[in-house]
Amino acid sequence: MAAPSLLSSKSRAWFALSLLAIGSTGIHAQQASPDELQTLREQVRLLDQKVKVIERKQELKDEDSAAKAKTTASVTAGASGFTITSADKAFDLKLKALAQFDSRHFLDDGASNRDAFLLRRIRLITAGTVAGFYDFNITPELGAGTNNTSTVALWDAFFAARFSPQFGVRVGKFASAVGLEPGANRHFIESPFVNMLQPNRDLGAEIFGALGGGFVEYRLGAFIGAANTTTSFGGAAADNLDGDRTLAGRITITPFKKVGGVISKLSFGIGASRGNEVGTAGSNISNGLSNIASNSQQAIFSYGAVLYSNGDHTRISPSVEWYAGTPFSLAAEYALEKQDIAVNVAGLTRTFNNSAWRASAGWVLTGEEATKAGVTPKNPFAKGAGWGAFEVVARVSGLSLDSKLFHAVSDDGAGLGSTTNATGAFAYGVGVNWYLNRNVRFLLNAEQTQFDDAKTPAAQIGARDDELAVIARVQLSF
Amino acid sequence: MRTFTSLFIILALALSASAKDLQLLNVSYDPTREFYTEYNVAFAKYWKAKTGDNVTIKQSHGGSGKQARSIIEGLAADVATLALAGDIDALATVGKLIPADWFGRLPKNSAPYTSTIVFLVRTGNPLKVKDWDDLTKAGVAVITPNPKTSGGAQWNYFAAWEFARRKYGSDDAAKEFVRKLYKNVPVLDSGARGSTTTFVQRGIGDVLISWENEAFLALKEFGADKFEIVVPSLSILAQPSVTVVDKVAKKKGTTEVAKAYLEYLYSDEAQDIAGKNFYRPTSEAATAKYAARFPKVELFTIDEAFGGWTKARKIHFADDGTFDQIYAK
Repeated sequence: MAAPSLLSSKSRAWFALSLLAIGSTGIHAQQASPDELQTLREQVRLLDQKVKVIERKQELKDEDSAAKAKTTASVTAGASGFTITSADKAFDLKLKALAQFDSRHFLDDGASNRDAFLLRRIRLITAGTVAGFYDFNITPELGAGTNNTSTVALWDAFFAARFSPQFGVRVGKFASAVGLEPGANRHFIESPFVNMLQPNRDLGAEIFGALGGGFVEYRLGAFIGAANTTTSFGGAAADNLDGDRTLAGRITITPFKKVGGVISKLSFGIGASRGNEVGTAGSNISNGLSNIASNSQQAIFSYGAVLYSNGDHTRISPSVEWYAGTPFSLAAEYALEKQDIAVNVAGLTRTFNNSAWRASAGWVLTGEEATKAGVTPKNPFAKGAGWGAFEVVARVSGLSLDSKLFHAVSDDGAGLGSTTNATGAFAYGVGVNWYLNRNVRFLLNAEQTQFDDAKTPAAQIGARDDELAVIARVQLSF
Repeated sequence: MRTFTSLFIILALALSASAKDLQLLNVSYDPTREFYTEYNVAFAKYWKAKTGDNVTIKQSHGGSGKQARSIIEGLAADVATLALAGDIDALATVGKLIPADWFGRLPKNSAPYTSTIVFLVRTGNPLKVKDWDDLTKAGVAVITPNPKTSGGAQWNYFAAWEFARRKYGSDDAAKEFVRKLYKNVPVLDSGARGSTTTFVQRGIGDVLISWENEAFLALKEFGADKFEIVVPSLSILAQPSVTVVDKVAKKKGTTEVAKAYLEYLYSDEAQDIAGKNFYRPTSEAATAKYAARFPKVELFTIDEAFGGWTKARKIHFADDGTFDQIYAK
């Protein structure tokens, strides 16, 4: 393809004619000889050649640049992170980060010394694609969830092959399919009770894909079987003791996808897992059982050092999500677990059922579309420019623990104390989220939680009547 | 009879179902586009008749040196049909993609057709260019590609060098001659086709040093009334060479068809196509058929004059070699 000329052929012709005209003026004035005319013609020819050479060199330079662009990797930096992409797009490397700084303040909860500043999440995400359709993600967590910044963990580490939109394989450590994707919890700063009955990350292999043009999405795999709220990577001994694999999966249906309009984005899902999980008595790591925290991450229930997982563990979790392409968004989820637990060191095992639920909604006051990932402000915050986007959110959630957990062992129970543990909880809260731009957001939540039982605050840190927590977060992500 | 017919149909269906769809990539140099476009059709037809398989041949063209580098860097060529044996050699010595004795695997040192180097001038030959000497005169603009990237340009370079060495008696004189010649080159394209574009379509220069077939093609496409071919007193026997790229073909499972693709270049049909496309055929029949088309000219070979490609390229086109010394001045 010819590159743009420095001078068009028309311009060149005018240029040459002008020279001839200038020459002719002198010729008429002095009656130029044929030799002089010949000389002038030669000069014009040479000038024409010079212009053509310059044009051609530019053309070759442009062709060379275009050819190099086809083989040269591109480097981009923007709101989505830093990316290096090969010329054929088959390889890319993305560098991303997530930093969350939280402030927790508790009002009138019958205890003290709970207020805190903490680095909730500090993640450096390295992700990318190899040879067109093999994806990888390595996400270390630095200072995870505590004010102890020396904590280091490997949060995600997986490799996925996308053979087609309908079928892919993912192996490694990644978000469990039992619950909704983490993005569905973005309305509030902290996850609700329902997440207390689901694993966080798990280690294993799964197949995934979307059928019918996205009408049905599925995930199904076999995993070590992480305990609730944990991220399984060999830390919980219970993951490996049973010598068994936990099957886990999720199916999501978007029934109105082809209808169009706001209803097209309404989706229903159901996740489940089933496996044999066997822990050992002694600690809440090795027992394969996870203690339960309130929505503000305060301990409200402990399995103690005697009980341990000892048999089947089944979870089921239906959900609905509606990110409608409008300022409105909605997510609701329910979780039920049925688990065999040894209630004494002799291994006497009983089955307990716990459940939790939540519903949250948001409305973007400034009119932008609410998505799972958040809100992209039309007018990002800047001096003399916009104020970003504002979203108001609300959430209700509940927890119901099996009453038999608090019965005496001799009475078909587990012998846990209902004065030192909450037996259930109900929480409601509101919040405002300020999206300064695509990368920075400020979130402020206030949430009231009412606990069932647990009337003796002095016995355990989690035991109290109720809790009013105000949590704020500054988040940077790219 | 009915049983026989059924069996025949079943057999035909089975054969039809087992026909394979094959694909080859032929990485070639600039001026072979037209030749291989025609040859590929003939070979696909031949292969279909012989095996029942469908073969599609993709072509890639560019400066011969650049193409060789692309193959070495991973371009998945089943066959390489390049301008110089030296570029094919690089696939063996640098890329380790083919054996070192590749040239002996096909007849005529794996050069199924030849060509030579001539001059293309504008009609009427206004500067009266007749031989290599005329290209070094002041005011003569010469178009030739960059010998660092183009195989054709290396043939041009060596032809000019040998002419000067024979006429003026030494390599030093030849070096000075070639330096003068390149001083008259206003644009260095990366390949032969680019130089033809520069001369023919962009109207730059007085003489194009060209592959013979490329010069004939220019006359055919742009009109014999616009250009003339000038045959110098001495030129070089250009032997474009071909090879299966063994490692790639083996990996892709195309070795058999790739070998057949190159072997068929020596067939009567292919030799005729070469002649039609202004390459000098190597078969006796086609050579006789197209003898009148090609002018008589004294030709020398790279082996005779320069001791082979490896030696010649090392001296002239390695970094800081003779060409760098000439062109930097």
